[in-house]
Amino acid sequence: MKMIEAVIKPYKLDEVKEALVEIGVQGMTVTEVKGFGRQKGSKETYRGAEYTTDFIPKIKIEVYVGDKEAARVIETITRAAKTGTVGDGKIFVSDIANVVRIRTGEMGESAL
Amino acid sequence: MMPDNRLSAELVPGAETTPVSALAWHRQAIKQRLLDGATAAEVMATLTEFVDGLVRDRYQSAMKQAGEGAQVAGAQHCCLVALGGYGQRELAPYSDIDIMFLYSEEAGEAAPILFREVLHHLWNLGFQVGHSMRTTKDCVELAGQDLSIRTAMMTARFLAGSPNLFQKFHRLYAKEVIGRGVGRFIEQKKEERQREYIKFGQTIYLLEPNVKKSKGGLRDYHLLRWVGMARFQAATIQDLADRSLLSRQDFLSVTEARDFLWRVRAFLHVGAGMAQEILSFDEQVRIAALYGFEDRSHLLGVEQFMQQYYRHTTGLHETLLRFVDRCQAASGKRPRAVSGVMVDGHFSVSGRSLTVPSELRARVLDSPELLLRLFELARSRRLKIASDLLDEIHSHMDRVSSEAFRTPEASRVFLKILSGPGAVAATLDAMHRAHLLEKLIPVFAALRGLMQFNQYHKYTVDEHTLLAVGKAEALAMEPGIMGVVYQEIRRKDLLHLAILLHDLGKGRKEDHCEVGKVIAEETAARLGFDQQESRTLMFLVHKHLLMSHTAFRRDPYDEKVLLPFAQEVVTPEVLRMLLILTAADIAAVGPGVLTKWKESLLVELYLRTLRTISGEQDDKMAGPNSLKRLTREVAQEFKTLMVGGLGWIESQLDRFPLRYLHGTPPKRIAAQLEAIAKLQAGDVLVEGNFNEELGTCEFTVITHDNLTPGIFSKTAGVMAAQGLEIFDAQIITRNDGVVVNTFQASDPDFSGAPPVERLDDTAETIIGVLKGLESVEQLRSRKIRFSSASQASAERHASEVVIDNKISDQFTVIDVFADDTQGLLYIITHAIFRLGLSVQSARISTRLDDDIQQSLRTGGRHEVVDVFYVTDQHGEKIEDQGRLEEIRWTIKQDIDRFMNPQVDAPENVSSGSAL
Repeated sequence: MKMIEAVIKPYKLDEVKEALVEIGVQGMTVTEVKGFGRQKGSKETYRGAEYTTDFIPKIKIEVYVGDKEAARVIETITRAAKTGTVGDGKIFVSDIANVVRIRTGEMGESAL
Repeated sequence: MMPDNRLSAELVPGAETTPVSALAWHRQAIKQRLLDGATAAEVMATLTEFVDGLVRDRYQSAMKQAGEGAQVAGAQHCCLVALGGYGQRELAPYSDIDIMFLYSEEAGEAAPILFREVLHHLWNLGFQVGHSMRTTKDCVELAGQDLSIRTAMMTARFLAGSPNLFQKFHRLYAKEVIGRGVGRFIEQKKEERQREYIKFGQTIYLLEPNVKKSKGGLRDYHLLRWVGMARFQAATIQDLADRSLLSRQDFLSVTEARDFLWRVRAFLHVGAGMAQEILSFDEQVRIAALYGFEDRSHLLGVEQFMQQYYRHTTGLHETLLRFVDRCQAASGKRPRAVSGVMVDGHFSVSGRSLTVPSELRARVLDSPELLLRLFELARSRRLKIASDLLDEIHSHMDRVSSEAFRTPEASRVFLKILSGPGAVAATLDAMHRAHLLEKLIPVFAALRGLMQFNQYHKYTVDEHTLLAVGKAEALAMEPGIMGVVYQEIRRKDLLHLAILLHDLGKGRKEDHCEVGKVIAEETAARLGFDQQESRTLMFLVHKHLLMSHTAFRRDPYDEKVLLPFAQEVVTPEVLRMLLILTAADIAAVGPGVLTKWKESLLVELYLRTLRTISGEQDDKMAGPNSLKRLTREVAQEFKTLMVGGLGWIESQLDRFPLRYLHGTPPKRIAAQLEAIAKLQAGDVLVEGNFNEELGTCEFTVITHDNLTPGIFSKTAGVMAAQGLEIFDAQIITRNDGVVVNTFQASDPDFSGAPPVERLDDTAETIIGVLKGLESVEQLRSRKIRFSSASQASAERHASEVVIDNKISDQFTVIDVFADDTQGLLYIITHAIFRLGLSVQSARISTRLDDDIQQSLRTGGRHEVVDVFYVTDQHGEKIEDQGRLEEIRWTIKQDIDRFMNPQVDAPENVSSGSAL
């Protein structure tokens, strides 16, 4: 099982979600996050006062899938979240040791 | 178990009815009776009677079993007393039983035995029992120390045993406890309830309220009764009403709310089979159906049910607050109203409290203007309006029509309240609770407590809108951009009103934004707004979701997103209001919903849009990549290969402001670059085309800015003289002095494409005037049709000139609002030219009334806003206040003269009826 975390541009969320639902992804977790990568924050001036945006608003989504589906999910997120400009985000993939469904106590892939 | 006892049914072996089964059967019957429509009071009375019977039977049998000594003790020296809700005969199906065993020393050892019997019996039946064993002396002592004991004893009721002992207790309690420290008692009960509010929800409008303990719950009714008992020794609220301590209306609102809550609680109990008091989503749906609420297309049954729920709880809670206030005021050492200072002839201020002397009350109540002045006074001086006065206003409002509030003075004061600064939301809230706000905005009455059944909203519609006004005011205090933007808004009244109205379209079948737009229009009419104010209000209400949709769902770096948004918003003032409205709306959805994250996306969009509107450079959008891309696109459009190739094109494009690059198709850019390449010093190139798609004549003027002063104004003058109506103009002056002005105009002399000669004639005339061969004045006298004011119309709007020096760091911005009249643009630009100003950029004839209804009303005439970004001759922004006022005054005077040649007074805009 894999955990797929993707940091994407906020307005891309709907597109990514729809694309994932289309390929059969059952659920995802969404968090509003701020951060910076190569796309650095910027300084804005407003009425003479400087307003620094050190961290850029992004959306982080987490999807947990079986090993077989991982490649497809990653490919789908990449396609849907891409604009071709700086700040499109990144996808992080890691292994998951186990999953438990609290209601039933089921474990492993069937609990996904 | 004692087999020889034959008095209790349970002790008969094999009997079909035991107390346990009898109780179960009884509860089942209660459920059925409730479903059949019985009131909660009826079923509570029956259940109380049933439990009373159980307790009495058991007490009797216990006495008998315990022998003769115990019988005497039980009848003469002990008694059973029901306390709390049980004492009040208000047992819900699964309520706790609160019972006290009263005894005197003479009872001896029999007392604990007898009590144990009864208690164990109740336990065996599955009741939760609150129990105590006390002497009369204990009672008085404990009641003095413990608030809940004192309170529970207020509703003590004799059950069994010695009536004399109970009487003794009762007399002692009345003498030693009830009348003692009433003020402190009320204060403590209030504090106790405050702690409960904190625990069970600070707002009435909880999505899953506790029917007993949440704000507005049954506990509020209890508190009202306790306070009434303590202060006035009134046994019931009926008693309070009979003695006129509670108005008829308050009495009704309390009893209706109480009966409603009782019944809901009874349903909750029988549904759960336990003392369930949380009205969860599931239960709401179930009980709404039991009450017969049906889903309608736009309003779910459960939403109708909960609206009723909130109406009852709000009514109950507010009556409680007013009543307790009154009781506490009544306990004050001496009335301080005597020392009040009279303000404004009608109002008396003492300390922080504001009231109206009794001899003036009738007059104030009957005058909408005075009532509003009362609230404005309270707002501006942060005073608290006396609760008895609020009571009177509240009950008086039911007899007043909203039409009475439709006067210019009432509107004026209402807008003053809305303007603030400060305490606007608090004042509106007080007006809403006094049922006065709905006289000004009638739709508010219907929305009282309207719930939005989803996980997202935490408050009802009326609460949400009032809260949003408060959130906007709070944003003003924030460091950073939000606070600055709020401060910059000139018309805070319009902003606050828009926030107040933004969601009032809810609860109807149609899209709430569309309904809201109509409500905004009606409200604007009621308040006597002019066209411009009314339009701003309608736009803000209608498009209150536009900014959040754009910021959260679209890419603010994409000009295809940004430009349409900027075009809708039109002016920086409206943009500022929309930003604050959007942020306040989100913040008022629930705690923690407006995150810094969301704020930063909104601010980002705000800053980008502001730059687009004010025409300032945005280096981010002109990133090297996008310029290269555009260069390639433009290159493809060239018919012949340009000398210098891509490098030349890029250097040319780099000289243009971004709004030109973004708003012009590559094909046209290519054509214009070709023209610029051929342009010689002193040359003027004018091209006239008919745009099939738009059905307009399009004139492009390409020249150098040193050719002649006032290029823009002169071109506009020629076109007006030719009978063309300009509705759009793009003024571009590149940093190397190349001017590319484009005008869109319609030609009323021709339907469809005008002949080529006509276009050429206009183009030639423009060239002639710009080269100085003829002046616009000469042209004016040659062409009769430039006679302007012959088109005077009774429906003419007042013109207005507004100068905004804050939008842009480089330019002074002039907004001109006026009727779209042929030749007007020339008049304005000529005035600007005469003032020695240079137009750097302009946005012309932005139509403000885009709907047909509106233009029908104004006789097909549109009111427009023309926006000019100007500098002085040295390219500097104008800072001198006197100079700014001169500019404003001169332009306005020129427009007014042009519109009404007979009237010379500049500020007097005649309606034209003198004609």
